[in-house]
Amino acid sequence: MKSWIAWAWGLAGTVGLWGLDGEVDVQVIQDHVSVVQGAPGAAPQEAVSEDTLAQGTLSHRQRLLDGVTAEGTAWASLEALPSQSSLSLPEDKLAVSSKVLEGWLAWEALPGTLTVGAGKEILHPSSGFSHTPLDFVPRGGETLGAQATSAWEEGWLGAKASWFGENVSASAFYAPALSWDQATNSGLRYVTSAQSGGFAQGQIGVTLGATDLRGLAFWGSGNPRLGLGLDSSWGDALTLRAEVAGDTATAIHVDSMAGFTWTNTDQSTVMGELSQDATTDAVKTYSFGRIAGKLDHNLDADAWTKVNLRDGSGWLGSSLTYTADHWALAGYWLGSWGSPSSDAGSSPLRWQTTVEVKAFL
Amino acid sequence: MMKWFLGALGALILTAAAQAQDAQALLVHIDAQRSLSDMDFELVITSYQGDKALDANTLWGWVKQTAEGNKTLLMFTEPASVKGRKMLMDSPTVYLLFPKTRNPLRLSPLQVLLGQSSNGDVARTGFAQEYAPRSLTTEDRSGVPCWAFDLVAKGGHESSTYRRVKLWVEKSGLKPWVADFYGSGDTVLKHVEYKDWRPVGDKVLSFELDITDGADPTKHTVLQYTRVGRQALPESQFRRDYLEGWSPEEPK
Repeated sequence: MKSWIAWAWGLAGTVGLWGLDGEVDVQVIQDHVSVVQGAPGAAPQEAVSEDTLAQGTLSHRQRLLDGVTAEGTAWASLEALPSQSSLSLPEDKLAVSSKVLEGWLAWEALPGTLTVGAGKEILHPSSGFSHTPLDFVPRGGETLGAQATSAWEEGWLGAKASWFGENVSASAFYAPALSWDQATNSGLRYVTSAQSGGFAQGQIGVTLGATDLRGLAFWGSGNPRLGLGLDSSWGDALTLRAEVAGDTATAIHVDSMAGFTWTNTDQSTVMGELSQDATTDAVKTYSFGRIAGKLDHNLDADAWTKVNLRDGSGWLGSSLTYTADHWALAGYWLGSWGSPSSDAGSSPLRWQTTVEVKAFL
Repeated sequence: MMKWFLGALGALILTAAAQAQDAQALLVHIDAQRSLSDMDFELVITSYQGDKALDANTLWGWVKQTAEGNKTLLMFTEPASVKGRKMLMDSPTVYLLFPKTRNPLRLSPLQVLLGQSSNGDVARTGFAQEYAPRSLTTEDRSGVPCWAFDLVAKGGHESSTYRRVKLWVEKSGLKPWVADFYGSGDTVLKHVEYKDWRPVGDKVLSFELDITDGADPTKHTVLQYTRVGRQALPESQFRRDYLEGWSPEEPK
């Protein structure tokens, strides 16, 4: 293990002394990729590269006054890439990143009814697992929807008001456009990424029996967008979800998803989703399936696949995770198939293994 | 002869209906005995393999009685691997919000909470809402005279995982003693023992539930209430969308 990883672990161990919640994870990722060496048109060959990534978060939540709460999460990562990768740093050099992911000050103006807040908040209203039509402004943390390796998401700087009724809730979030001279104000990058265009997003939620309905409206760059979502429970074992979103200028640009999760009496789960993204020129239709369960008290396993139904390419993944009170050890395998011109096959990735160690502080 | 037969049949039907009504009324009364409005609690859930404790988790909880049934808010506090998770149980719906995420996941009551305990086990505060008595008899359990209810899922709850429950209630104090939960067949999926009864206000509550896996009796999970009190939260806090901003204080 590289000395800087040991140093990071040691520093992380002091987090609890400061009364903060923390999480540190170290991943060793081995990629097996296709590369064309020599003359163009030559058959691709498999090359192996290894990446070591250590990242961590520090979080704290504090009640300042009656009804006033402050909370925040800071993130930092250290990444070493090998010299054989085209993306590599020189040997023994590290890529260092850090950022405030969230920082929020909330005032409950009318307890249980009206809350206003400002700061930096993640917007993630979609219930989709493999595809998320209602996430109009994703900001990092995106995955194929199945791999469980830690992917942190950054919030948007803005202000929000939320109202909660008996069966209805409504909220409005406004994020201003933010840009600055990177050279003269380089320190700002630790607070937030630039927000090239401001936007406003409104959401209404209605609960009807065992069904939740959500309506979203988004004004920002491009045409205004609208979305509808549904989440429902059927009995003790089945949950259903469906989402559709599109811009208001044309009915063609529609993004949709429908899925279910079914729980067996042994508490293993089977999940399925069908999605279609027609917001780009090439319409993409995917099917997604996942099975997950416990092999032992602390040992969880899952396997999943996502297939592009138009070109037949896809991804296949599985994981095994052992979780204890203050740490977890996980192994992931991810592979893809398809021709070079296909969706999954267009990536040079053939397969990837990841070993991850997490510490909860 | 026919008149006599029809009369006897009618009397039998009326008697059975009256008994069923009595059994239902008794079940409602038993539930009411241990139902506390605006309850807050601290709960420790310990999973065992035989006598060996595998892990222990601590949760804070708040219960609200509403016209549609009970709603429960949970906050996971220990250990660090689960700390900060928030849950809303609004039968049959369960929402789970992980730390550093903003969209609560919709879970089913059957999905595991911790150990052998499912979300539904913690959310369930009574039987009369979901089940109707099929029969009511008297039996002794470990020498204790008990009412023995044979309960079946009511209309609208037919898709319930536990289609049938055999419930033994101590006759003297009307306290649930033991319950066997069945699926669609005759196999016991879970065996629950209600222990450590203590007074809270004008009610008497079970402070310990011991849940054993029907398929593997060496696996069991103990739900131990370490603190129970009263705290009234607004009903509007027991909503999915409120979870992300919910910042609870330790139960008193």
